[in-house]
Amino acid sequence: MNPERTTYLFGFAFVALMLLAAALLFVFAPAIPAGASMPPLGRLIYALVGASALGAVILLSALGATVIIKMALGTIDLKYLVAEESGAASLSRFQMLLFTFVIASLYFLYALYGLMNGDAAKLPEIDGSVLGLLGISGGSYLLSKGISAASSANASNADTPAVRTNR
Amino acid sequence: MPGGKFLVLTFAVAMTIWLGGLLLVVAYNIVGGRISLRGLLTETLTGQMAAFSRPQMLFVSLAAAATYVGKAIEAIGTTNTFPPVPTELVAAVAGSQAVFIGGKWLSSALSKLRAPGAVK
Repeated sequence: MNPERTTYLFGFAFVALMLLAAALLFVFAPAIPAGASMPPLGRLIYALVGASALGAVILLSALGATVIIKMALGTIDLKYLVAEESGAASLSRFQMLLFTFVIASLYFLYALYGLMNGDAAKLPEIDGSVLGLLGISGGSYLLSKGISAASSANASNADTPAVRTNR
Repeated sequence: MPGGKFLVLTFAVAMTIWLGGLLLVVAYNIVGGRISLRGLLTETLTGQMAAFSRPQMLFVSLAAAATYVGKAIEAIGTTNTFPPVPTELVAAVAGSQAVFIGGKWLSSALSKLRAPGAVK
Protein backbone atom coordinates (compact mmCIF):
# COMPACT_ATOMS: atom_id res chain seq x y z
CA MET A 1 0.00 0.00 0.00
CA ASN A 2 1.10 3.57 -0.70
CA PRO A 3 2.78 4.85 2.52
CA GLU A 4 1.28 8.33 2.07
CA ARG A 5 -2.19 6.85 1.77
CA THR A 6 -1.62 4.66 4.84
CA THR A 7 -0.53 7.72 6.85
CA TYR A 8 -3.68 9.63 5.83
CA LEU A 9 -5.82 6.59 6.62
CA PHE A 10 -4.33 6.27 10.13
CA GLY A 11 -4.67 10.03 10.63
CA PHE A 12 -8.36 10.04 9.72
CA ALA A 13 -9.02 6.92 11.84
CA PHE A 14 -7.30 8.61 14.80
CA VAL A 15 -9.27 11.86 14.44
CA ALA A 16 -12.52 9.86 14.05
CA LEU A 17 -11.73 7.90 17.20
CA MET A 18 -11.06 11.11 19.14
CA LEU A 19 -14.32 12.68 17.91
CA LEU A 20 -16.21 9.54 18.90
CA ALA A 21 -14.57 9.57 22.36
CA ALA A 22 -15.45 13.27 22.78
CA ALA A 23 -19.07 12.64 21.70
CA LEU A 24 -19.42 9.70 24.09
CA LEU A 25 -17.96 11.70 26.95
CA PHE A 26 -20.25 14.65 26.11
CA VAL A 27 -23.34 12.42 26.25
CA PHE A 28 -22.37 10.32 29.25
CA ALA A 29 -20.31 12.85 31.23
CA PRO A 30 -21.03 12.39 34.93
CA ALA A 31 -21.93 15.56 36.76
CA ILE A 32 -19.51 16.87 39.38
CA PRO A 33 -20.66 16.81 42.18
CA ALA A 34 -22.79 13.75 41.54
CA GLY A 35 -26.49 14.50 41.06
CA ALA A 36 -25.95 18.15 40.04
CA SER A 37 -26.61 19.28 36.48
CA MET A 38 -23.63 20.32 34.36
CA PRO A 39 -23.94 23.29 31.95
CA PRO A 40 -23.40 22.44 28.24
CA LEU A 41 -20.11 24.39 28.07
CA GLY A 42 -18.73 22.52 31.09
CA ARG A 43 -19.86 19.24 29.52
CA LEU A 44 -18.09 20.16 26.25
CA ILE A 45 -14.82 21.08 28.02
CA TYR A 46 -15.01 17.87 30.03
CA ALA A 47 -15.48 15.83 26.83
CA LEU A 48 -12.64 17.58 24.96
CA VAL A 49 -10.18 17.18 27.86
CA GLY A 50 -11.05 13.49 28.18
CA ALA A 51 -10.70 12.85 24.44
CA SER A 52 -7.37 14.73 24.32
CA ALA A 53 -5.99 12.66 27.21
CA LEU A 54 -7.09 9.46 25.51
CA GLY A 55 -5.51 10.68 22.26
CA ALA A 56 -2.22 11.42 24.04
CA VAL A 57 -2.15 7.92 25.57
CA ILE A 58 -2.89 6.30 22.20
CA LEU A 59 -0.34 8.44 20.33
CA LEU A 60 2.46 7.83 22.84
CA SER A 61 1.72 4.10 23.01
CA ALA A 62 1.67 3.87 19.19
CA LEU A 63 4.95 5.79 19.00
CA GLY A 64 6.57 3.44 21.53
CA ALA A 65 5.21 0.37 19.75
CA THR A 66 6.52 1.64 16.39
CA VAL A 67 10.02 2.14 17.81
CA ILE A 68 10.08 -1.34 19.39
CA ILE A 69 8.75 -3.04 16.24
CA LYS A 70 11.28 -1.22 14.05
CA MET A 71 14.09 -2.18 16.44
CA ALA A 72 12.97 -5.82 16.46
CA LEU A 73 12.73 -5.91 12.64
CA GLY A 74 16.14 -4.26 12.27
CA THR A 75 14.83 -1.12 10.52
CA ILE A 76 16.33 0.85 13.42
CA ASP A 77 19.92 -0.34 13.48
CA LEU A 78 21.17 -1.01 17.02
CA LYS A 79 24.64 -2.12 15.94
CA TYR A 80 26.30 0.98 17.35
CA LEU A 81 24.17 1.28 20.50
CA VAL A 82 27.19 0.81 22.75
CA ALA A 83 29.89 1.34 20.14
CA GLU A 84 31.94 4.34 19.10
CA GLU A 85 32.28 5.57 15.50
CA SER A 86 35.26 3.22 15.08
CA GLY A 87 32.98 0.24 15.75
CA ALA A 88 34.68 -0.75 19.02
CA ALA A 89 32.30 -1.16 21.98
CA SER A 90 32.53 1.55 24.62
CA LEU A 91 32.49 0.49 28.25
CA SER A 92 31.22 3.92 29.35
CA ARG A 93 28.26 3.71 26.96
CA PHE A 94 27.54 0.19 28.14
CA GLN A 95 27.55 1.37 31.75
CA MET A 96 25.23 4.30 30.99
CA LEU A 97 22.85 1.95 29.19
CA LEU A 98 22.88 -0.45 32.16
CA PHE A 99 22.26 2.28 34.76
CA THR A 100 19.55 3.93 32.63
CA PHE A 101 17.71 0.64 32.20
CA VAL A 102 17.98 -0.17 35.91
CA ILE A 103 16.67 3.22 37.04
CA ALA A 104 13.92 3.41 34.39
CA SER A 105 12.71 -0.12 35.19
CA LEU A 106 12.64 0.59 38.92
CA TYR A 107 10.80 3.86 38.29
CA PHE A 108 8.04 2.08 36.39
CA LEU A 109 7.93 -0.63 39.03
CA TYR A 110 7.48 1.96 41.80
CA ALA A 111 4.91 3.91 39.74
CA LEU A 112 2.89 0.75 39.00
CA TYR A 113 3.01 -0.31 42.65
CA GLY A 114 1.74 3.16 43.63
CA LEU A 115 -1.10 2.90 41.10
CA MET A 116 -2.15 -0.54 42.30
CA ASN A 117 -2.31 0.78 45.84
CA GLY A 118 -4.45 3.79 44.92
CA ASP A 119 -1.61 6.29 45.10
CA ALA A 120 -1.91 7.36 41.45
CA ALA A 121 -1.48 11.08 42.08
CA LYS A 122 2.04 10.73 43.50
CA LEU A 123 4.93 9.94 41.18
CA PRO A 124 7.89 8.08 42.72
CA GLU A 125 10.70 10.31 43.95
CA ILE A 126 14.28 9.60 42.91
CA ASP A 127 16.85 9.98 45.68
CA GLY A 128 19.71 12.40 45.04
CA SER A 129 22.34 9.67 45.42
CA VAL A 130 20.81 7.77 42.47
CA LEU A 131 21.11 10.87 40.30
CA GLY A 132 24.65 11.29 41.64
CA LEU A 133 25.51 7.80 40.45
CA LEU A 134 24.17 8.60 36.98
CA GLY A 135 26.16 11.85 37.07
CA ILE A 136 29.39 10.00 37.91
CA SER A 137 28.74 7.64 35.02
CA GLY A 138 28.00 10.49 32.59
CA GLY A 139 30.97 12.52 33.80
CA SER A 140 33.39 9.66 33.30
CA TYR A 141 31.95 9.10 29.79
CA LEU A 142 32.67 12.74 28.93
CA LEU A 143 36.20 12.53 30.35
CA SER A 144 36.86 9.32 28.45
CA LYS A 145 35.62 10.92 25.21
CA GLY A 146 37.83 13.94 25.90
CA ILE A 147 40.93 11.76 26.34
CA SER A 148 40.12 9.79 23.17
CA ALA A 149 39.52 12.99 21.17
CA ALA A 150 42.75 14.58 22.40
CA SER A 151 44.67 11.43 21.57
CA SER A 152 43.17 11.23 18.06
CA ALA A 153 43.94 14.91 17.47
CA ASN A 154 47.57 14.36 18.51
CA ALA A 155 47.84 11.32 16.24
CA SER A 156 46.48 13.24 13.22
CA ASN A 157 48.80 16.19 13.97
CA ALA A 158 51.75 13.80 14.05
CA ASP A 159 50.73 12.39 10.65
CA THR A 160 50.37 15.83 9.02
CA PRO A 161 53.68 17.59 8.21
CA ALA A 162 53.85 21.11 9.59
CA VAL A 163 53.41 23.92 7.04
CA ARG A 164 56.30 26.38 7.07
CA THR A 165 55.89 29.97 5.97
CA ASN A 166 58.59 32.52 5.24
CA ARG A 167 58.09 35.74 7.12
CA MET B 1 -10.15 14.49 34.53
CA PRO B 2 -12.70 12.16 32.87
CA GLY B 3 -11.56 8.56 33.23
CA GLY B 4 -8.29 9.84 34.67
CA LYS B 5 -7.47 6.78 36.75
CA PHE B 6 -8.22 4.42 33.86
CA LEU B 7 -6.05 6.46 31.48
CA VAL B 8 -3.14 6.65 33.93
CA LEU B 9 -3.30 2.91 34.54
CA THR B 10 -3.52 2.15 30.79
CA PHE B 11 -0.58 4.41 30.07
CA ALA B 12 1.51 2.99 32.92
CA VAL B 13 0.85 -0.57 31.73
CA ALA B 14 1.61 0.41 28.11
CA MET B 15 4.88 2.06 29.14
CA THR B 16 5.88 -0.92 31.28
CA ILE B 17 5.25 -3.26 28.35
CA TRP B 18 7.22 -0.85 26.16
CA LEU B 19 10.18 -0.79 28.55
CA GLY B 20 10.07 -4.58 28.88
CA GLY B 21 9.97 -4.87 25.08
CA LEU B 22 12.91 -2.49 24.77
CA LEU B 23 14.91 -4.53 27.29
CA LEU B 24 14.06 -7.75 25.45
CA VAL B 25 14.96 -6.34 22.03
CA VAL B 26 18.30 -4.98 23.31
CA ALA B 27 19.11 -8.24 25.16
CA TYR B 28 18.13 -10.33 22.11
CA ASN B 29 20.32 -8.20 19.85
CA ILE B 30 23.27 -8.41 22.25
CA VAL B 31 22.97 -12.21 22.49
CA GLY B 32 22.50 -12.50 18.71
CA GLY B 33 25.59 -10.38 18.13
CA ARG B 34 23.74 -7.62 16.25
CA ILE B 35 24.69 -5.12 18.96
CA SER B 36 28.43 -5.26 18.77
CA LEU B 37 30.29 -5.73 22.06
CA ARG B 38 33.55 -6.29 20.19
CA GLY B 39 36.37 -4.51 21.94
CA LEU B 40 34.48 -3.93 25.19
CA LEU B 41 37.52 -5.02 27.18
CA THR B 42 40.12 -3.78 24.72
CA GLU B 43 41.93 -0.50 25.10
CA THR B 44 40.91 1.45 21.99
CA LEU B 45 43.99 3.65 21.90
CA THR B 46 46.55 0.83 21.95
CA GLY B 47 44.40 -1.99 20.56
CA GLN B 48 45.62 -4.27 23.35
CA MET B 49 43.58 -6.17 25.91
CA ALA B 50 43.22 -3.98 28.98
CA ALA B 51 44.69 -5.86 31.90
CA PHE B 52 42.76 -4.36 34.75
CA SER B 53 40.98 -1.05 34.20
CA ARG B 54 38.20 -2.26 31.90
CA PRO B 55 37.36 -5.65 33.45
CA GLN B 56 37.19 -4.09 36.93
CA MET B 57 34.83 -1.35 35.71
CA LEU B 58 32.57 -3.88 34.01
CA PHE B 59 32.50 -6.00 37.15
CA VAL B 60 31.87 -3.05 39.51
CA SER B 61 29.11 -1.66 37.25
CA LEU B 62 27.27 -4.99 37.06
CA ALA B 63 27.71 -5.60 40.80
CA ALA B 64 26.54 -2.07 41.69
CA ALA B 65 23.47 -2.37 39.44
CA ALA B 66 22.56 -5.79 40.86
CA THR B 67 23.05 -4.64 44.48
CA TYR B 68 20.90 -1.54 43.97
CA VAL B 69 18.12 -3.44 42.18
CA GLY B 70 17.96 -5.88 45.13
CA LYS B 71 17.84 -3.01 47.62
CA ALA B 72 15.18 -1.11 45.66
CA ILE B 73 12.96 -4.18 45.22
CA GLU B 74 13.18 -4.84 48.96
CA ALA B 75 12.00 -1.28 49.65
CA ILE B 76 8.95 -1.40 47.34
CA GLY B 77 5.78 -0.95 49.34
CA THR B 78 7.49 0.68 52.29
CA THR B 79 8.16 3.99 50.52
CA ASN B 80 7.40 5.91 47.34
CA THR B 81 10.98 7.23 47.17
CA PHE B 82 13.90 5.34 45.68
CA PRO B 83 16.17 4.09 48.48
CA PRO B 84 19.48 5.99 48.73
CA VAL B 85 22.50 4.36 47.13
CA PRO B 86 24.84 3.21 49.95
CA THR B 87 27.87 5.46 50.29
CA GLU B 88 30.17 2.45 49.90
CA LEU B 89 28.58 1.65 46.55
CA VAL B 90 28.95 5.24 45.31
CA ALA B 91 32.58 5.21 46.45
CA ALA B 92 33.20 1.87 44.69
CA VAL B 93 31.68 3.13 41.42
CA ALA B 94 33.55 6.45 41.63
CA GLY B 95 36.83 4.66 42.42
CA SER B 96 36.30 2.23 39.57
CA GLN B 97 35.63 5.11 37.16
CA ALA B 98 38.76 6.87 38.38
CA VAL B 99 40.84 3.73 37.70
CA PHE B 100 39.25 3.43 34.23
CA ILE B 101 39.90 7.07 33.35
CA GLY B 102 43.42 6.83 34.81
CA GLY B 103 44.12 3.74 32.69
CA LYS B 104 42.81 5.45 29.59
CA TRP B 105 44.91 8.55 30.25
CA LEU B 106 47.99 6.39 30.85
CA SER B 107 47.52 4.43 27.64
CA SER B 108 46.97 7.72 25.78
CA ALA B 109 50.24 9.07 27.20
CA LEU B 110 52.07 5.85 26.34
CA SER B 111 50.74 5.82 22.78
CA LYS B 112 51.97 9.42 22.38
CA LEU B 113 55.43 8.40 23.55
CA ARG B 114 55.48 5.41 21.22
CA ALA B 115 54.28 7.42 18.22
CA PRO B 116 56.81 7.86 15.39
CA GLY B 117 58.55 11.20 15.75
CA ALA B 118 58.05 11.36 19.49
CA VAL B 119 60.99 12.85 21.39
CA LYS B 120 63.02 10.08 22.97
